[in-house]
Amino acid sequence: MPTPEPTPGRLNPWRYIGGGLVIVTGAIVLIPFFALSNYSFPAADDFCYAQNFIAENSFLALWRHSLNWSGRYFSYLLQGSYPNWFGLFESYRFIAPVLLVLTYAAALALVSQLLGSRSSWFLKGVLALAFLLAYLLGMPEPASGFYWMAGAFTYQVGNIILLVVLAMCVKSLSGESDTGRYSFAFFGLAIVAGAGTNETTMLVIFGIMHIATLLAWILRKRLTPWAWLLSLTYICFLIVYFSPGNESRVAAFPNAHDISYALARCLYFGSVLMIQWLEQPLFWVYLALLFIASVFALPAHSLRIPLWLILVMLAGTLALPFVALFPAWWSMGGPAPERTINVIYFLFLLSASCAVILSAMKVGSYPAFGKDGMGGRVSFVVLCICFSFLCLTNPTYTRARADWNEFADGYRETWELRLEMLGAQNPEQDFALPALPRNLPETIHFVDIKPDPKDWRNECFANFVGARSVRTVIE
Amino acid sequence: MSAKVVNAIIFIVTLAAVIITLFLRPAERINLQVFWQTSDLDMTEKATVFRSVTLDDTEQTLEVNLQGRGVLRLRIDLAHSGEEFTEIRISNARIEGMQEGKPASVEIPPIWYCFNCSLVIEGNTLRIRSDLEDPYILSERIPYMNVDTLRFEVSGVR
Repeated sequence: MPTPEPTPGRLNPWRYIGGGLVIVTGAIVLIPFFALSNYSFPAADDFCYAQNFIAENSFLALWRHSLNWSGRYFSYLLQGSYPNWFGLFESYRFIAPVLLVLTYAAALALVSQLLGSRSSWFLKGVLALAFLLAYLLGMPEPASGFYWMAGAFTYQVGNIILLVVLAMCVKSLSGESDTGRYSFAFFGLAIVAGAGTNETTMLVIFGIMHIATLLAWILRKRLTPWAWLLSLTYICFLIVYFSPGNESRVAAFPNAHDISYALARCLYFGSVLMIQWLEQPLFWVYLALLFIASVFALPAHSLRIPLWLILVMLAGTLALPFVALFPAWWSMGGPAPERTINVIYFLFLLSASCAVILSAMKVGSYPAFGKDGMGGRVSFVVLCICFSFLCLTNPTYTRARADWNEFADGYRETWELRLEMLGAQNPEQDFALPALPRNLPETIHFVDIKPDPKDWRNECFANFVGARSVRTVIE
Repeated sequence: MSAKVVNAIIFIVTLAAVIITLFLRPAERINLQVFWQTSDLDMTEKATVFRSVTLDDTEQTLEVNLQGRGVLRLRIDLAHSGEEFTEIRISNARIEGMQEGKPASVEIPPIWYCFNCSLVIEGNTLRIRSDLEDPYILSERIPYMNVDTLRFEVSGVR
């Protein structure tokens, strides 16, 4: 007797129970991260960029930045404009929540495109949430990823746009009819914005657009829009890569552009990162959940995913920590900062997720597979329980909760005292501001001004608030 | 691949996830912020995260030996630490001192996940030994100087 064809995406109570558990866990885990955004304050580059955009015309400031430091035009434009549009201190607390929501929305867009329109929206929503949690709880430093404006606009915005670009690629390549011109216009804008956020994202978009164009040719899609998009990608690449400021930046790092050194360090630190990430139980359980849930969510089509494609994707995932470190070591001659490692972890997680979804497609493409079998349902619920348990016991979440409950109030009180002192007196003088408490909310704190008024961070802060100088003192 | 095989894959994946959840513990990073001055040998700042680690600063010694290609040796004795680390990481390190008769300071690049560092806990003594023989990291960054102050943060991954 033939196995009845399951209705794609149809949910039964088991799936609601498992998915509901992940949603409740997500809400619990995200609460402290959202709450902590109320306690975040600007730091370091935030003041410099805001001041640059106050001091002169936005485009002139952008041009000067390109000449003197780097060609990251889009992130710099955001960093300089946001404080002037909304107020640096007044609107700082909105950055992290908006980026968390946008990350979720972009992940949902990609998952939706990968699993197809016939799949259950409920499961797609659960998987996008699981991706967000796996990233947030596995990333090396949430502070510079979401809470520090300069880091968030340079790196997390790049991550979000990358998800959008990938979703657009899948949509354009998998659709039966050619994508409309408005979609391609949006696609083009996403490429321009994403390539201008940071070098790592720019290189990834550069690679993706080549692969996508090749696939468009293989799949006999209309090539004209792809040629335009690829040309646009090249233009953005050239703007960023040949920005005159890159030379100045290289000069600031003594070991920059030493090929053998950069390769040796990438090999060593890539292995360090790989071991660290593969040791995280949340990473593995997330992938297991993604696999089973994708099998459930996929429609019962007969799309044949070749094994070599899955193997290439897996190999690419394993190579990522090594390859993605190279731009930092090459350009700076030193270890990449944590905010860059955040991006590399994001790419690693994204690549692993895509490999798992492809594997699920291969398994799910066999019509004999009883997707609605009891074993599958139990597996899904068990994996949801494991995932939720690991999220709720994760050190990053525990730390965020402790920061919120114990350290955030004192941190904010000190900052408010500083601002009160700056506002109450004639600004054009030397200020001795109270140092931050010893126990800092590490989830949100990136860096502070120093006791030395000549430190560049202090000078930027002083310029921004109109003081002659600022320094910290321990009271 | 039959339905039985696919069901077996699902079973194995689920079983592996359960085993991972039960037996694989996430790495826990413990930060110890240390401020050390040669002048008074006082550990004036300490902070702990993730776990409540009480560090009594009754005794601490530190050796800084910036020889030639930049060898940095740290030995920090922290009483009652009671912690065992498998990896350490030294970050936000800054050396302040005198160089050619003038005040000078150098920021030490982050020493990532210092697998080659030896870490020994003997009784109430936590010893961190970091032999940084990588000429690329330190040789050009840390010139010879008479060191007055060394500040750094140590992260131990358990």
